[in-house]
Amino acid sequence: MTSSMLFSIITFIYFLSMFLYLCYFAFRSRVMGVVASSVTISGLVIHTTAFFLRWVESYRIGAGHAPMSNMYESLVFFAWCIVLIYLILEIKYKARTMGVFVTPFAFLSMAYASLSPNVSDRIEPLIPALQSNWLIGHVLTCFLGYAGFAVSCGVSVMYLIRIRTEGKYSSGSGFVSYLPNSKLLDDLSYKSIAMGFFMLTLGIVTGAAWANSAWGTYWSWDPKETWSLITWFVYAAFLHARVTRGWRGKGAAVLSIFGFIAVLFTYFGVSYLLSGLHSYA
Amino acid sequence: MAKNRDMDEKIKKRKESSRNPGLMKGVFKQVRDFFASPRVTVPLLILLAVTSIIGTLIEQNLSEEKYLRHFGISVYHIFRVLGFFDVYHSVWYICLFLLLTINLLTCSFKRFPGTWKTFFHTSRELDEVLIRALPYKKSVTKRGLPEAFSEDCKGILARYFAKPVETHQVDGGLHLYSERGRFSRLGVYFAHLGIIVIFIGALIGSIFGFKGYVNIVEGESVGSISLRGDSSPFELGFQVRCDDFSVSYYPGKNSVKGIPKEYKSVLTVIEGGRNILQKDVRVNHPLRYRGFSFYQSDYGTATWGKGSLLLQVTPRGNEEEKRDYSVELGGDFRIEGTPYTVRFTRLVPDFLMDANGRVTSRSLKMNNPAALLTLLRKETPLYSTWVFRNFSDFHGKGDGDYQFTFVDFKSKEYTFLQVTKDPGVWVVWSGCAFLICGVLSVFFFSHRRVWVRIIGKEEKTHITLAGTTSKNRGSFEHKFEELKEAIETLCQNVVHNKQTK
Repeated sequence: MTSSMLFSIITFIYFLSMFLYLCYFAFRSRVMGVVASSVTISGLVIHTTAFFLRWVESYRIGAGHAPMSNMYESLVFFAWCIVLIYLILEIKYKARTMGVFVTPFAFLSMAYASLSPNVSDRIEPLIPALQSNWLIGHVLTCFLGYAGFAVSCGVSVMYLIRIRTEGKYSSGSGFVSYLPNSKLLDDLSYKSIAMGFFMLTLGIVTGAAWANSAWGTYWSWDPKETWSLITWFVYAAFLHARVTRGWRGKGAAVLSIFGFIAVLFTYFGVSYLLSGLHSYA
Repeated sequence: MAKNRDMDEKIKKRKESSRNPGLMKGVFKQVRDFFASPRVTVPLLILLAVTSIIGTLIEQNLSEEKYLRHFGISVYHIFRVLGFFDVYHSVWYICLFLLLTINLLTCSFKRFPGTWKTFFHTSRELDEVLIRALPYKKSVTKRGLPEAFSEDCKGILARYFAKPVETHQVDGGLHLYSERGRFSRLGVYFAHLGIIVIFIGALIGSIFGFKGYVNIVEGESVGSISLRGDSSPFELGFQVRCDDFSVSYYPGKNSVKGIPKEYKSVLTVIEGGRNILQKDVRVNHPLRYRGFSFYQSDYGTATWGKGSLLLQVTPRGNEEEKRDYSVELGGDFRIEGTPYTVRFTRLVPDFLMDANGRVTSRSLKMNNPAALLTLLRKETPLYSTWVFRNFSDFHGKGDGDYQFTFVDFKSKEYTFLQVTKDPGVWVVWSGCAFLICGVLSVFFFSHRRVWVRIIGKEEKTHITLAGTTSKNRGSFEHKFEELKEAIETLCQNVVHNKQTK
């Protein structure tokens, strides 16, 4: 059993958990919810195993390195971060309906990695520029940041759905009333952005430190760098809007979704549409 | 709260405008107040985000022709005036950063006195005014003297929260105050200070730092480098020698074989004629010396002709005595144990003899390299002969005493190094450290404070518990409940004990 096969299986597991969360949401069945959570947890366990298996495999072909070095590996790692953060929040806040809005991100990331013809699942040896102790720290912090923003985006979508109907129906009727209340959603969105922002800050700083040891300059306005800074500005604006303007609720939710669009552009747009130093991933 | 602040500002402004200073002063003040307001921060950040996009869509710092070809003359001129070809160094972009810095500084200065007060001068006594202001409170009244409860209350605070500070009042009341995470109040200042320190570091780098590059052929040394955008060489004040350059490839199975694994230059720093240090410079592992950093960036084959010829010399009729020698173009060597010297006089990469019998080269590629050797005896040339790499059986002049075999010509490589000096880089790193610590304490720590007042009155004791948190109410509420329950049960126990007596 190779790690690539395991990752394909995980793609289906995440599809299944997405489906199960949806059933839980639609039929409001507690059993379904427990099943959905268990499937997701086992998915994460297999995912973690496969991650380390791929690490071992890379040593076997003589190119040992942490599996964080190309598009395929980063997508897989992105999904792992999303599921990890989601499960922590689900357990802590007992907000299982979040799964409906968050697991799709993990599934899409895995599906894109496994199915897209542009993304090769081959283990590639590290080119000299990537051979650095900063690799793990930089990728780990960036993707935990991205995943935090993905979770926040999902929660913000929930929020927008929730407030549209909050006034209309009396509590206890309709799907939507099954969503956590808007105050909790707003708070969860803020919490995942705060975590994401901290991680993104660490990611940018570790990236600068790495650039300084590889290229001799900590900041060169390369498109990836610039877009990570743009993302940082957007979320900094979000956080300041909350404090100085009392922006909560709808405005904050919209800004959080915009922030995630910037994240997606930093991740995919720059790699595919713009050229620059980060051409490998 | 934000609304209140706005109201205050409006009132202040109205008062100020009624004083009616000079018009210019008024405008200046308005502009200053505008940029000093925290309401500007968000639009500034959004503006920075949006304008930063420009430089990622238009490739920066290309040649004029490329832009002209791509945009046409009119668009080119507009974009050039707007600085779109070098957005991140344009005046308006730097101004945006400057405005952000001003905004950040003024807002911090405005807020800091308040923070200072809570940081150092929080009231340790729970009076009625404070109770009214605090969001979390609970009062319990029980029979018994205050002394019966005070030790236990202290214990509860210490156990569930933090060791309290005691204040005894003249009227006999006891006030306990404990707090956690006070430092987090300063987090926001640390984060903002970090950003300013990063800017200062970047400024130092752009004024006192520079970027350059240098080519060093293996075996040679340089004492100066070329700077970007400057034609005159820059003297380093020391010498750098490249002892060796090599590329190594991944071994192992087919899929990874042949992919470069490492580019390595062995560099030696020479100062005052002495070798100071030697280092293997690889990608991600630069050489740092006297504030200069040398980065492995590229490599290539040196101008051809530089390199060494590997030659095998066999005395005629004595195969046993053959020996290998290495010689550079124009150099010579003595055949061991003889008075004969061999000189390497000429190298032709792609040997061709034209109709007139002149030797030329068909191309510059090493397709058919040939070397012209001269045999000398005590500085007197005896004869010259060509040897060929591709025709090793041809040993030159047939009747000579020695057979020469062209084994290989190893071209010298050069290493291409980026050289930078940036005295601001440590300032930038300390700014980053401030920023990270600041962000960490802003988001993951909160200043939580709890007061307990114990007052005895006519055989009864009034215990008041009150608290507040700078943020993260949810987890504080949980903690407060814990304290509340502990104090309530404690009181019951005390009362119960009394009754059993």
